Amino acid sequence: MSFTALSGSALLGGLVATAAVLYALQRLRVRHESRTVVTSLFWREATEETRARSLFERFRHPLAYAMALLCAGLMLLGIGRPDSDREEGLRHVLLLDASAGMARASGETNRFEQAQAALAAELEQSPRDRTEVLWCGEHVRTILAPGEDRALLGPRLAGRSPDLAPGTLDRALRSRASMGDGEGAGRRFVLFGDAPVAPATLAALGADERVERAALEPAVDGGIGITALGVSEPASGRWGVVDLFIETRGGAPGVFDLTLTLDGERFERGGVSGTDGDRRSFLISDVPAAGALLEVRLNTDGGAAGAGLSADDVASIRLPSRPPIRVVVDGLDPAFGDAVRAVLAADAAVELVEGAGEADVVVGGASAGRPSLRFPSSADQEEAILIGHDQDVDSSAALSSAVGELGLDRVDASALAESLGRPLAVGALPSGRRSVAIWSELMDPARTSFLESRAFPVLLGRSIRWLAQAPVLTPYRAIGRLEPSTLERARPPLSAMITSDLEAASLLDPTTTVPVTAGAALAEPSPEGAGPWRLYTWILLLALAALSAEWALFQRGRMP
Amino acid sequence: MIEEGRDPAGLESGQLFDAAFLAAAQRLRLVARRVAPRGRFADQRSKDRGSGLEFQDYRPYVAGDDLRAIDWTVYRRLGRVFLRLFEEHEDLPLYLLPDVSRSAWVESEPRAVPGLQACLALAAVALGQHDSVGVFPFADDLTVLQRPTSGKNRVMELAHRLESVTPGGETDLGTALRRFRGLGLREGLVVIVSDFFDPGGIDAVVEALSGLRHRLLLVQLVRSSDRDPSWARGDLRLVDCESGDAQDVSVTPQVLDRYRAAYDRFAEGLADLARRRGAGLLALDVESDVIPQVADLFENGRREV
Repeated sequence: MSFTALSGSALLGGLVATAAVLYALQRLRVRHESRTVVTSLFWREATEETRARSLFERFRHPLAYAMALLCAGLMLLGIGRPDSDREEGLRHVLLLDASAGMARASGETNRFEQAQAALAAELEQSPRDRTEVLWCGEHVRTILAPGEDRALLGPRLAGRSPDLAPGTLDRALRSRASMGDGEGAGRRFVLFGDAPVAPATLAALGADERVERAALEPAVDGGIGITALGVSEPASGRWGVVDLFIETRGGAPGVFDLTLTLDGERFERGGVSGTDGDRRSFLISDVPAAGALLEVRLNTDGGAAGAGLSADDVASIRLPSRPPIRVVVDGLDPAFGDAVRAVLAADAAVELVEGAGEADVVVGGASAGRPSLRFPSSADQEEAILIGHDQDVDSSAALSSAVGELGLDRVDASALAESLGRPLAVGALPSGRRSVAIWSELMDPARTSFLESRAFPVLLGRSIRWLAQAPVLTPYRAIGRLEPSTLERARPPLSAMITSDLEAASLLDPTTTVPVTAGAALAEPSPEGAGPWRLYTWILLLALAALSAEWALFQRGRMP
Repeated sequence: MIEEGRDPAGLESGQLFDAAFLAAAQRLRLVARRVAPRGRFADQRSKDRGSGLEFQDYRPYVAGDDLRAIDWTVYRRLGRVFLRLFEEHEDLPLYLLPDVSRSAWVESEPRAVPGLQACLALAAVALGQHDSVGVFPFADDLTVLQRPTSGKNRVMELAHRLESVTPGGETDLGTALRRFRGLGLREGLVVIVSDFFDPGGIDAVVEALSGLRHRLLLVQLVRSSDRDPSWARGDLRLVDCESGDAQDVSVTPQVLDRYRAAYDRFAEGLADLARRRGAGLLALDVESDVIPQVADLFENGRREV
């Protein structure tokens, strides 16, 4: 037998303490039977000599003591809420979905309130010392540890609302499953929410583990929301502008409209560039990249935007600021100086200046404390291309990212090595300022054909942008889909932050926007053992009967 | 046995008096050693010499004596004139003071019933001897149920009056006797029929009787459970039926011994009071027949008080 409200040791201790207290009270108590007498004159004289009372009387009325102990023990047992041994040792993990989708209105309440009510009901049925409750919002954390009083759950959830974050039930389930049971008695996961669970997650569970989903009211279909937002390099090739990408889910054509503003000013958008089911993509070209805040608002007919979920009706992003990169060219070898100048002059992102003091990047000559692109001799530098990166970045990671970001993957290294008659190496080292150093021999038209290759302008242009730390454009930011890798952020986040930080996109995952039952189908919690006639109910009724019997015996004078 | 919550009630008609009871009472005779000089002629002998039938003594003749009382036989034998003196018979006022306080009524077999029967028996005897009888029930005060009267035919009337007695409150013998003295009755025989359970104890009884000029007969209404409360066991809250005072008692053999000792001191004090006052004392067992116990009061059918 297990207890849902008290631990076994606490119950045993309580029984012992109750027996001791009742024993002491039995020793101390004097229950007088009232009798009327002709005169109390002689009794008064008889007791005057022994008026002082002793602390302890002899132990009397053992049957009355046994009856009182029976009543108290049954009540304590009932308060302990014993449960059957049917699932002895089974651990219960209750996961409360606190993702943004739970804020969706459902009837007179929302999904989150329904989930809380179902959680409270389930908690009443679960053994206290083997049940924990997890909050699955933006982060997964424990809000009721095993052994804690269930009364603590209410205050801990008071005033809480779902986080503006995608569903993390699947992630929490995978995390808990990977941690193992530890006791081998099995685990039962009960989900309270709509977030889907992948079949692979269920497959990873052990044989003695099962997942159930509490039944809530049926979810309302027909959600509409913005699910992706991002900027990318403009297809026009112009510098100082970006292409804007917007994706929506749900809703029929014509049901909704998008309104764009740049720093509060209305901005006209283009049409739909693609549809895939209920997914719609919008591509807006050549949006000025001047650091303005772009806000996208979804409008639906009748004001039923997002079918009761407002969090995905608005998304915003701070557009990058892309002013021209000022470059000064000085001290280049005449053999390749003109070629470099020609490439830089053709680059729309570059503005050639004369003084090093005004430049963002120095090409050729002395760096003067600024990022620089240099062309040293192979006698001065071991590597053919040496990248000086920020000191807070690991050199290996920086070199790995540079291969794509600087366009090194486009360089035909074997041909160049053959032309030079020596192997080429690429290296990276931390530095106080960024720099790219390329052997001057590689640039010599008399020795290689690098200046004539397609890789030369690419390497030159991307190096200038990397050195100037031009903002990296995120092609799109969408929950549940990985961002492309960048040099600055080698490991993309699993989800975007959805907060009041206006520089981040406010997006939810597609399954939140469109409430579909994705993932594996789950069974509902078993109703067996629920209801008002559980074991502790019978025990409390037995205690009541014992109390009634004691009262009846007392009234009839059979119980002192 | 006390009946919880039982209210004192009066007597039903015929509960006190029947023919057998009166016949037994007729065999009793109260004899007073001395009666007051101012009563009318009755069967009670007086220490005063008078014109009764029974010879008592001689005394020398003095001028003015009744010549019919001269004993001429003595004159012929001794040559001197003596008068024969006869006993003067006068009535003995009997004042009956039955206790009708609450303690006499609360038991399932009220001790007031045998107490009033005893009063009626004594009254029947007195009335049969041409004595006057007055009845003054008392509790915390005294009431006049029957002023002193005489005549054999008043027995039934007196019985009816006794049956109409009203149960009273707390016992206060001192107040009752002060009120009795205030009535200014001539000296007679006062019979107090009571349990004498005055809240002030035996001292209060002694003090109350100290100023009483009358001769005295104490009839103590007793019950076997008064001294030996066999019903008492365990932890009890004893409520005095008159005062309502509660006394918590855990009954143990030691407590019972002290209780009996207290009761014995009370009974001994009452007996000592009777001895010092030259009064009679009858411990009337209320659980036995009244007449035999009253008869035992007299020796060979006569009792001097």
